[in-house]
Amino acid sequence: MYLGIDMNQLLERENGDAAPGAAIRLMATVIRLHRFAADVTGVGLALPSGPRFRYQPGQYVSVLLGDGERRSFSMASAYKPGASIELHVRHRAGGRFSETALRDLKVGHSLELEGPFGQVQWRQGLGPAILMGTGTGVAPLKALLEHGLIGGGQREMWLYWGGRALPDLYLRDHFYTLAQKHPRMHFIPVLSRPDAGWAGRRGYVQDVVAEDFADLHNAHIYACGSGIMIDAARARLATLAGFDEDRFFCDSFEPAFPMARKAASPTLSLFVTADRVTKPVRVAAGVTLLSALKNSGLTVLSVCGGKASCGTCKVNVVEGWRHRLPGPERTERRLLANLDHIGPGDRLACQIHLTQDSDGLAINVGSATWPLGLRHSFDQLENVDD
Amino acid sequence: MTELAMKTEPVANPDLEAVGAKFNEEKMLFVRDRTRGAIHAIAGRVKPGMVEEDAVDMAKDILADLGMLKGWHDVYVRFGTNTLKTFGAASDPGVVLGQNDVFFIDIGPVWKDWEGDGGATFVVGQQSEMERCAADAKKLFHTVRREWAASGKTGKALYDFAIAEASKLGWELNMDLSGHRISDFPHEVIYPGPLANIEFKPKRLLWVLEIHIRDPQNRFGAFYEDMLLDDSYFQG
Repeated sequence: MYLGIDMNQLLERENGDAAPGAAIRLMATVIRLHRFAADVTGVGLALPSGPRFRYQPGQYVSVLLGDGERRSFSMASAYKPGASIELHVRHRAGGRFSETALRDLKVGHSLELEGPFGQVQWRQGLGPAILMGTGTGVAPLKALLEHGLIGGGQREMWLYWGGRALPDLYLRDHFYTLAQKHPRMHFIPVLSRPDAGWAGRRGYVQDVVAEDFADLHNAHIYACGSGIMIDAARARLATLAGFDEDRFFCDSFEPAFPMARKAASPTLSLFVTADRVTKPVRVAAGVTLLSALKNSGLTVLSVCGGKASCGTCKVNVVEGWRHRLPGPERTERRLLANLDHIGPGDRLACQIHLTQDSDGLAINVGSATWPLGLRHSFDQLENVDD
Repeated sequence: MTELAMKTEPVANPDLEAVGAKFNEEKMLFVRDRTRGAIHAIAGRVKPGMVEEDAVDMAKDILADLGMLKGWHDVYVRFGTNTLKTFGAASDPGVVLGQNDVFFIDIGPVWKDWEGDGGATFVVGQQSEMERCAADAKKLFHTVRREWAASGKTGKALYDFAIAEASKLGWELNMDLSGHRISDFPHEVIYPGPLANIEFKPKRLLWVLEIHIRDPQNRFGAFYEDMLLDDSYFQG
């Protein structure tokens, strides 16, 4: 009988102090910048020898941008004491970190980090581990995979990595090599829009997984990527025998700000209503409402990246709150006046700055104009206590 | 099971050229014309002595009057050394346009359901190197565009070509601004990446070609951007 060994637990015993997962702040030094693809950069960071930063594979870290804003990225390798970490950053037009800061980032620069965060962690088991992801969602999957391989044993591990075309799978050679070295590891690239010469699997990762696994009893499933992909994966795999929500672990990268996830220090309550259902969201003050919603896990469309240009982050502030918030400034007023279907209380989430006075703010996000991922991300929020 | 047999490098992925349900060729061209018109309307109001932030505000007023303030990206009017800045980068604050100076405009307005995108560089007063840079940005745009029309070059090959041509003219090409899709709003859900990354020949009307060249001494830059279209759309 195979008894899985948790390598992180062994490492913790060796080091003998702080529990893994305790979030700390620390300064890291950029030691490597590698352009994996035209739109993905690997940022290698050396950590100081002072405060110990320990994480579980699948967890993420926040890069602090200095004014309360943060961008979060998963560690792309399993934890090793003293080793550097690597983050995969997808470039986004207008992205505060992914474009503006990253462009000026040089080896030797320092970044302030906080972490680790995240609930996606390796679970021991005897059944197959199915790791599925798209884009830079492969980073936490890579860490999980490495951890699973380090742990030894005979457990089969399947990595399904989806993209539109082969160049999107920027680490494919690494995974091909890994699969050659480890017969129990299987790499299945999946292309949704391949060229005619593609001989591999076509379509979407969740459909290919469903084709390969008629029965998911004892399987652990790790899904990392866009909220839309995770929504689709959950819905598709739930139709298979043996699917168990408790063995489905997901990490959603938001589409517009792909790595923005849970805030570290929630201090405010917001009340978000969609389709006449209201749920509370705990967020940090000092950021925009748009950032707060994204940090809380909601999938929010913001094409222009928070520049008050596109209007896609429009929300409606409920009547009792409309005069309690500072009114819109000229830039916001001018854009709202240029948008269709604007009513009383409509505001741009990117232009509302949350302060302690915003505690209890209630907004309606509607439903029709929000992206597909909102439905699932909203459903993921806890309900208001009855 | 390994997938070594699958290691076929793609040469094309034309589905990146998908369009949304509201895509309409005539409307796209209509918005393109309105975008070019807006650029020149803004440029006509930019005067020496103006602070860049005021020019951006003025540009937004003009776009609002035209019903084109909604944009898939922010409005950029860059003065002087800020013309070196890449897309999305914050300008140095408080830059005043000199009597002999350069500025560029980059807008991405959405009119109703259709995206526009365009940019151009202008010189005020007399400064021959800036004039040459501005003229070369436009010239390079057309050189690359004609190469696109006459050859089967992929997006990647077109930008390799652009780098070489920019170098011949004595400029550095900023590859952070290397073209992108355009469509019914928002194109980002189809393909948010750069034109310079695609490995097939881009079709007309679906892409914009961006040329941002910089002075090797980092004094100024120039920008030109328009749709990939054949010569007939650039006459007159």
